[in-house]
Amino acid sequence: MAKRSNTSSLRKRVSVTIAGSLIGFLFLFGQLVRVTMLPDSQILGYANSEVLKTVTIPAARGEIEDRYGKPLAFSVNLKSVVADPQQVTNPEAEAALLSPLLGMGQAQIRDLLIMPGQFEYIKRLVPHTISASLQQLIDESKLPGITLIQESERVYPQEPLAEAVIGQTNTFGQGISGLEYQYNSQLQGTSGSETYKVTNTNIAVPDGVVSYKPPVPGSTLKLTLDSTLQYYVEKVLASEMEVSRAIGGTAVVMDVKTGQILAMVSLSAPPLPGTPATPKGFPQGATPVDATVSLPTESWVNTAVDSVYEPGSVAKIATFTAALEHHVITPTSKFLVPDQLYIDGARFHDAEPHPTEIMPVGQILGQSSNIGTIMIAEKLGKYIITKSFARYGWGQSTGLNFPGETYGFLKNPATWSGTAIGSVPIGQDEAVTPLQVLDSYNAVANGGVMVTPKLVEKIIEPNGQSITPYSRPPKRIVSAKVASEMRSLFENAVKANGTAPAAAIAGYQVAGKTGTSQKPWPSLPGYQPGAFWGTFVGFVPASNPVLSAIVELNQPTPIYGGSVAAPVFSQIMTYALQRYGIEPNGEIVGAAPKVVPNISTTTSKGGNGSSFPSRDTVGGAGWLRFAR
Amino acid sequence: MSLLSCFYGKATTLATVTFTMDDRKKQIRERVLKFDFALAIVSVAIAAFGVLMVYSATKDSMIQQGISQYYYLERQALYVALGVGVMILVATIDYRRISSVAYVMYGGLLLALVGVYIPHIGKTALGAQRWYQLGPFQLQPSEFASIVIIVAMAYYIDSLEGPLNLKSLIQLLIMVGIPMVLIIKQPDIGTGLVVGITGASLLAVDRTPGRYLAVLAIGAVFGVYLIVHLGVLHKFQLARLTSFLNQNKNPFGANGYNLTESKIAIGSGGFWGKGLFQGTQTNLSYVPEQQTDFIFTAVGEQLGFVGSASLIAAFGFVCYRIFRAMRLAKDPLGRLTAAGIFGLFVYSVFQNAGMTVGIMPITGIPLPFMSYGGSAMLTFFAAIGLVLNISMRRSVG
Repeated sequence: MAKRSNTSSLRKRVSVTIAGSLIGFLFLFGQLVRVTMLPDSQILGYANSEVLKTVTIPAARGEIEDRYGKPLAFSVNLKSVVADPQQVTNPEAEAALLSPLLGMGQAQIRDLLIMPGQFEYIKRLVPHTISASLQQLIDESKLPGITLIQESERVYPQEPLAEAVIGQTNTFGQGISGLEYQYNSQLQGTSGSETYKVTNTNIAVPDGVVSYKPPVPGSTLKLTLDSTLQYYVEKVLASEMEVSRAIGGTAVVMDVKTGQILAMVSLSAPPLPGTPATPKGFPQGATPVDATVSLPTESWVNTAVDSVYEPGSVAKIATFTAALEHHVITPTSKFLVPDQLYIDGARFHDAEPHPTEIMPVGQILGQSSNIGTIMIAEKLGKYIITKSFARYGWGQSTGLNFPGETYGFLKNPATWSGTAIGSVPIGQDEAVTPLQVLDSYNAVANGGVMVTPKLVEKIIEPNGQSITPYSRPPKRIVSAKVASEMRSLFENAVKANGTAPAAAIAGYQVAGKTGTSQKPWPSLPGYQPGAFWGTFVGFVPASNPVLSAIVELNQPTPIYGGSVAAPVFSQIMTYALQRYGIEPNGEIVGAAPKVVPNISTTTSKGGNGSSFPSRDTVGGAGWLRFAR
Repeated sequence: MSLLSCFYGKATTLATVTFTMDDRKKQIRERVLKFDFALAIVSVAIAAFGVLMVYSATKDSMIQQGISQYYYLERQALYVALGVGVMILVATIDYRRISSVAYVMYGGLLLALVGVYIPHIGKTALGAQRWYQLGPFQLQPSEFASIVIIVAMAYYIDSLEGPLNLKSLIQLLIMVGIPMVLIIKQPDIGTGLVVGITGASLLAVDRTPGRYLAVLAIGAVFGVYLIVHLGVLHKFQLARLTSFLNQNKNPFGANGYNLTESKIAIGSGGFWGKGLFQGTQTNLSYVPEQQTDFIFTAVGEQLGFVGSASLIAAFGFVCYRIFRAMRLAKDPLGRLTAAGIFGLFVYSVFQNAGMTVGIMPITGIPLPFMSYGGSAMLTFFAAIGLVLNISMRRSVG
């Protein structure tokens, strides 16, 4: 080959080489532009999602304490054992290490350690001693993939006291019933979060925290409940239920002036297992009167607000108030009262047969004459009667707004049947909650001013600032004069010839009213034979009431409110009067309740307007003092 | 260059004949004038930048493992220092003298490549037999293969009279083929391909008749077809090599993972990058082999398009200077050697950077001067040393 041709061939090849290389570089450059400046948004999303990990830092849930600061619910920080199975190197060996500490089977743990995914609970809320041992093993790198996370356990130190009121939280620490649910947002606080960088093996990068938001602990709920009184009421009611073989019992004690609820008890004694709950001929949900029932326990349903009943004669308050207001009666009026009466073809009768006799209105109320009441009601007419009920809050919200609270039911007078003028005034054709009944009697006790019932006295924020939860303002619903006249009339019930002499308290004048009402079938028209509700509602001292209370028993034997509920009322009020140092004239002179240590003195009126010493007067003692 | 003058300065003091001394001085002056400072400086600068990148890509995971965060930095800096030394050494000894021991070097290479297969001598890691353990360091003979083969092939072709004939072509193919097969067998297809392509580029530039080149090209295409269809490669090797062709099929699958992570890293860097030490994907080990084969992603993520494009441009400059040396070489030996080195650099950069952006298959070969590793560092500096050697001893320009 000639030298010239060799050189030209060389030049050609060199050109091809440099051109080829240039094209390659340009291609590379172009792709670089594409990848960096026109990136796939999905690809970019991975850049953050795989590098940044965000964990929630749970906030400590607030405490619930009674009016004296005694704890009813608090949270304890405990560690839970979790595994990231992808990080677990030797499931068998780690399971063997964990098994004795957690008290779980080795195979069971191993199975959890080989689950797909990156998060597996091995055991929740382990005791401190165990979590300390585990932490040591983790620090020694003996348990790769196992971590301890902070969780909290809800503790109810006085469990099951007031269970239905306090409520419950789920495993995630959220309130699911009762006050735990109603005030969940205040109790739970605000959880914090931490975002940090992790490596491809999901290990936190040192100093890799991108953002940190500290959790804000929840507020403390200070209840109006007095846990000591609550306990006493539960005990007395339970023992009455045992004696009367009632299947349920409800009792509420209220501070007349403020509407603060001092005790709110719901007990139930369901038929024993094995007892047919609905024997032949009984509709679903009905318990036969002669069923063998279990011992009373805390009900999960707060029956004081969450269930309705036909109240019976306690409903007579509406007719008598309206009659006094409309001058149909005076406190000394007399009526000629037979023991039975036909309205629209239906026979109404008094509880006991009696000859037609002249009865003063005090006797009609005190002996709970249905016929006398109906005679007065007929003079008023259905519209005035209905208005009177409505003014007492029947068929309406009490303002407590407790979870599951029902408003009850009041018949529209326009649709009343012919017999309704006989049944409604004596408490048969309406549905009402025990708290609604108590509210109306409390209004009379309070001189005609209705106060909204309260369970939460204040919400104490983590910074110490306390908030009084909104409550409907008090409202006058009855004139002071009529209220005073009603108070006197209600004294008749506890007289020797009244329906509830058992409600009497030695040295104190009690005022109140009994109610004995038939239970309707749950899913049939008409009433269950032999099944009744027995109620007593009243207040004390009658002349200057400080405490009001309602006691209601479900299917008791005997059936009468005066026989079963009135003695319970008497016992709990006797205890409460002594506990709070209430004089027969209504003055509060006594010392502070003895159960709470370090309360040496108290004032007659708490700073919050309550008649009872509040925590403020105790001097800010922390709950820990009581917890020991 | 003071080191160079030192080297020859000793020689001059020993010289006794005045005119020889003058002659020698003139020669040295000429060489210093022709010395390609730009190529040397850019190469060393890329290597220094590489040290920084290797450090940034490994710092966090080193801290995390409780190892000194400077572990990789110190070692890579040492390799660069050794590399610069090798470069200067290779540049000073006339390339014709180096070539004269080409066959000895070639023989040594074959022995080393066979040696890694001998149990207890060769070191196995990640399922591949590639290394010799020398104290704390690992020697990877396949990395040296390309430069040794370039020198040996250039020497062989240069020794021929006139253009290649069929016999010598076959001899050359065997010369490239044996080490290539030994390397692919390790298995290390990437380095095997580097050896093959380097050899081919050397053949393409000079002395080989066009018809042979055509036959070789057809043979190569046919060979690839056979390799793909006759099951010469492991299935996983094939799947990995072809995964870049269908990137969206399974972005985090076993074969697509590297590429997806690599693209996340470079893509998230954007135009300006996330900033030095701010790269999450590369610094937190999301990109596998982020300090070696995927070091380019660390540049892309931390310094963005600006940084990566500048690096490519720097490599472009290096390649251009090698090309220049080839064009100006005074003899076929220099020209052939430079041609092989040109092929080595162009292919290494294109293949390595190309795989991280998804235009080339994933094969584990180092990015010149950038990837962590001593063997490759010494090889690339030796190659630049040879190029400096050739350009410094050119007759014209």
